[in-house]
Amino acid sequence: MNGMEKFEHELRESFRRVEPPQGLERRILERAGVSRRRGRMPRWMAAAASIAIAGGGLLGVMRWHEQQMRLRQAEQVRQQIALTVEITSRTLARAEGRLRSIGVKQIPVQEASWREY
Amino acid sequence: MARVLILVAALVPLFGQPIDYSLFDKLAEKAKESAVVNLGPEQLTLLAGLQPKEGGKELAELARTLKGIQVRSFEFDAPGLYDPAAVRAFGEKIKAGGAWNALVSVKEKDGFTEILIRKGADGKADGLLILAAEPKELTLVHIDGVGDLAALARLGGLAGIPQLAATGAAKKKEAPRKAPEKQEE
Amino acid sequence: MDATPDFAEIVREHQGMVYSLAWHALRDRAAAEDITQDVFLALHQNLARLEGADHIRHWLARVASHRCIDEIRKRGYRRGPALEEVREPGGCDGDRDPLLRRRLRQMVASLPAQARMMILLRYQEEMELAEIARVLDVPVQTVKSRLHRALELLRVKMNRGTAVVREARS
Repeated sequence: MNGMEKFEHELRESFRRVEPPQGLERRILERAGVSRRRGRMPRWMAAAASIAIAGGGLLGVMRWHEQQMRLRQAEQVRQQIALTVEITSRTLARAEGRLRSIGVKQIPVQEASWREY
Repeated sequence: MARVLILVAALVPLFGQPIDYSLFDKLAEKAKESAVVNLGPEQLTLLAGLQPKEGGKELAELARTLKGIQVRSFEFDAPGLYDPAAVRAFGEKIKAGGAWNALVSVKEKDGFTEILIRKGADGKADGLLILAAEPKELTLVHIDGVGDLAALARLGGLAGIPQLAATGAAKKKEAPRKAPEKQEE
Repeated sequence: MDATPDFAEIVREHQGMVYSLAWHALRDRAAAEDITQDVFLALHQNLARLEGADHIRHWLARVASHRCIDEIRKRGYRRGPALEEVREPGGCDGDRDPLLRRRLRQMVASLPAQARMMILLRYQEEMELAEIARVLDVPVQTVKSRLHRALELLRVKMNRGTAVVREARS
């Protein structure tokens, strides 16, 4: 190996991928609102469905489906709010950076008197 | 990249007058990437149905308080694809209506950020609007029903909703107190 | 048209790449995790527009790189001293010096944001110059010249350290 090849070898060895922290995948999926058990019903839902069918007949099944729909809708709302928080955080972080450069420590979380910077 | 975030608040009254967002709707066609959120009061009440392990009551309470969330975030390929003066005029028009006032207003050469608060008829703050314009991004976040970031911060951590950063209400990110260095050639 | 790929599988497959890029770029575990989460959240929002495994990998590398560059520039981020101030690597044998790679990582972490990402995309992800150019939205010639300049600077510093050690021994 010539000098540059050796050096590039060292660079490759120095920058091998590192192990992500424990639980990162789970945290990402939680933030994205994605269940890891895609396609499989959680046990409690399966149990609820069984009870509804056995004890309540058609009415029970209809109520269960309504509940599922509300849960799905709630999940969609949760994801939209998560997106809102993410975008708001990013925007505020940039605004805070600008304020910090002129000596203001942080954007007031509580309502404050209005000031022009 | 500058992002254009436009809050879709077509239904939000401004002392009875709805805000016209058609300026921003047209910009969506020019954007490389966009994110849109439109949540009305009926949808927000659905949050209570999530029933997280912790904070269920708080989530339900917030769901009742919030009346609408509208977000438009646009990212462009290059600067100059939208007119910052028109966006600034949009913000000025909102303030001119009398209901909204600027909590924070930061102006720079290539952009600006404003955080506006709306006061309701009872004198309490009941609306929050963040408008941030950068060369390749435009951002608008409108939260109806609450008048400060604390309410949004309280959502963080509930039912898997991320924490709101950069306000001190959530986790703090340590950063050196100096202006970004111009390192590039 | 491919079926929409499973998001969880994509996270599993690519979290190492994204996290490693952020970690090597910022040398800050918390910041690296924040960026990794943000990148995958953005992917989740845009997944329907992506087609195929290669497109997804390219998209992730691109978004992660740009986020890292933004973060480095926003914070005036410098982990470790400027290149000129880095202590020369020492030790008995430059080829097996246990500190050598650590010094190399510190030296790269003090490069300007874009050059830093070029090094990482090249040597962590083994990307060709044309792909690096597409990921970073710069011309290929820019990648060539900046990468070359950064490598020469790093090599000179590393060799100078080794030469000093050899002189001391003789």
